[in-house]
Amino acid sequence: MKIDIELTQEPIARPQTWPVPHNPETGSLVEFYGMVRETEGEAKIPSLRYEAYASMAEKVMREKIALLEKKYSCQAIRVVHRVGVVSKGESAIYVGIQSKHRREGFLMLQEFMDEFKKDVPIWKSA
Amino acid sequence: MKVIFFAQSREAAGRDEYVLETAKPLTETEFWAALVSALPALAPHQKTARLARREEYVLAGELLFPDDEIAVIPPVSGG
Repeated sequence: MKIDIELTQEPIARPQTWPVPHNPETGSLVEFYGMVRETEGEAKIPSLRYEAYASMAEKVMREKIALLEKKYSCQAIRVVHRVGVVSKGESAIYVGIQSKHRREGFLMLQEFMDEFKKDVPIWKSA
Repeated sequence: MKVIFFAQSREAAGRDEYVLETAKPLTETEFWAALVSALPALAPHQKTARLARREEYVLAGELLFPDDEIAVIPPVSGG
């Protein structure tokens, strides 16, 4: 499985461009953009600051993906997470998964994000 | 033993890292006792933070060795 992970201070473009040639076997590209909400409860939030233990974050992500790819036969995954200040409406994370059919892509994306939120050492603060 | 801090643990510690002097391996309980003794503001983090060594979470029961670099990982909130 092709794995592409990036932590960046730059804005995450929507839509994302994949830096790899299209796989002719790919029939599905499932994408998720996690965005900074303008409100959290009653509070208005102009931006959030993200910081990462970068080397461990990438290692944990690769371990999660290695386990998930045994369950779901996907062809490629691209993960981009922003660090630094992210303004409301901007994306903090992008995850894209290419697979032959949509089902494994949706399932892997959902499970990857659940695992990401449990263990990947990245933190946000107001 | 070098200890590195992130996010809320760094704010509580007031620093990025700290060298915990020990000549013998420590249990996690002993580690926290020594760390909180040196940096009392970290006490609340003992209940919520996890420890990592060589970029992997420390498992229950594992010893921490004098030449380890230990990261104090507060609850994560990325994504």
